[in-house]
Amino acid sequence: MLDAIAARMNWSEPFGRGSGTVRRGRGVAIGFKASISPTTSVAIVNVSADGSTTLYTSTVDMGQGSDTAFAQMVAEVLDLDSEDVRIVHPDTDVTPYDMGTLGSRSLFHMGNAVRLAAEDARTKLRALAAEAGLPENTNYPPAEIFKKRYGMQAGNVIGTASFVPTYKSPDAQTGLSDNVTPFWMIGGAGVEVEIDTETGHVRVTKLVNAADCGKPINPGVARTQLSGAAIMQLGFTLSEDMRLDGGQVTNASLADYKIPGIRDIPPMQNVLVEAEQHSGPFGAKGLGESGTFGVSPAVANAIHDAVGVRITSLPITAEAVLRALRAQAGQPLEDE
Amino acid sequence: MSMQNINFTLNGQAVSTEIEPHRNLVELLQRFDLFGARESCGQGLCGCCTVLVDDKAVSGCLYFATWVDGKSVTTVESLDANGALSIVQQAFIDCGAFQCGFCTPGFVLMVHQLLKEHPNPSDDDIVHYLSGNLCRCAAYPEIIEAVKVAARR
Repeated sequence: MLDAIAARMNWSEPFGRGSGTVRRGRGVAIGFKASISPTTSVAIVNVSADGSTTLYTSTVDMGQGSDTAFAQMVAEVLDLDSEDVRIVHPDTDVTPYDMGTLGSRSLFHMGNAVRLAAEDARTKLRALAAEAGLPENTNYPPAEIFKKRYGMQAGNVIGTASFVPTYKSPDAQTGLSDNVTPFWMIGGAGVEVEIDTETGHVRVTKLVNAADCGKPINPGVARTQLSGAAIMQLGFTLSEDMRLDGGQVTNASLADYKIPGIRDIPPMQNVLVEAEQHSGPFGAKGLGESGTFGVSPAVANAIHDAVGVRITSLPITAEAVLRALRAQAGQPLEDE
Repeated sequence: MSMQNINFTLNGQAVSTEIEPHRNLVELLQRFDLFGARESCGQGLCGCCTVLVDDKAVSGCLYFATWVDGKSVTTVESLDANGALSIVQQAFIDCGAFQCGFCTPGFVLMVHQLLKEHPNPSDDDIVHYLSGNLCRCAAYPEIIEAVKVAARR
């Protein structure tokens, strides 16, 4: 992944350092994070007599695209079009248990459960085909199997599965475990900045995001999620400062708490570094948080590269950089 | 609270209703079962409640309902009224220009106004028109691409 970032940063090429009061720098950073463990995910796949298929899960699709990915997985196993898979959204009266939509776990944990549930349905469909006297290992559409078996368009096949990855708690003495997470998220970023040394203003002029996503189930959705996560992290890095007074947030308004707008987006490249996650569904793994890991430290590294000051708290506002520059020059701002 | 009678055109149809003078345009639209204009910040800072009044984008949260008297109001719901998505809506889907979709109606209406006034917008035009719309999922690069795709169609 570092190679992917370095190539897009032209890392081995000469780099202009700026002149006068504007100084340029660049930095990279990578991070990795465990997903959450131990957890359980359960999925139900219901194949109806007309061949239409419904997936029941308790994963909340808040925009990350889990519905799309799960529909693709069911369709892949049952040889359907993904548009033909209907998703029933979380409802404790109806959908089976899931631990939660967090920790970048849905694609991996629920994805494994969905795949296994679809495979369970496929096994049962094959048994039904055998009962109907259809030859083995032929690919009859489900609707034909039902019709042949029951003499009319009737019946259902329900596949279900739970996915519970193995887990070993950290040792009480050493804090170590050789199986603390079912997969690791790995994300990184490369950043170029310009610093106005008179004001401390930081302008990000290039942002390269990369993440190891295993084998992406839907590359378009994955790339959008990687990009969105990095831009959100860029907001935390440069402008988002939640101020508290006596436990109360004092800037709870979009006028005072500045999230990135369309003018704040630097030229970006988003890179899915493909790998095979053997324990994941179809080689995939979670990506929800990976795009955030490298951004803040890469910006801080780039600032250090440009002007030699090391900022260690967020957000890295113009004021924070100017204070550090003045302190470095032995002329701290008067209120320090 | 005394009610005020207003007559206006809503998505091409003449309508009239009574409403309290302190209600805003988002609340008025909800009474017509139109929920595409979404109040998010309530301060005119996010663009989620964007509605066109006489073909000009306004923040529905800051616009008194009674001000639409005699005017023409266009909401996102009008865009697929004939059963087909608008070019802009289809371009948003094709470019994956959203994740959660909460801000999308506001962006789509703003892009409609942009393309009406600048059929071949420059990058500066795009960010100028869309700088009042916030997207927390940060699909901005995809949104900019969707605007260009829509302009080409």
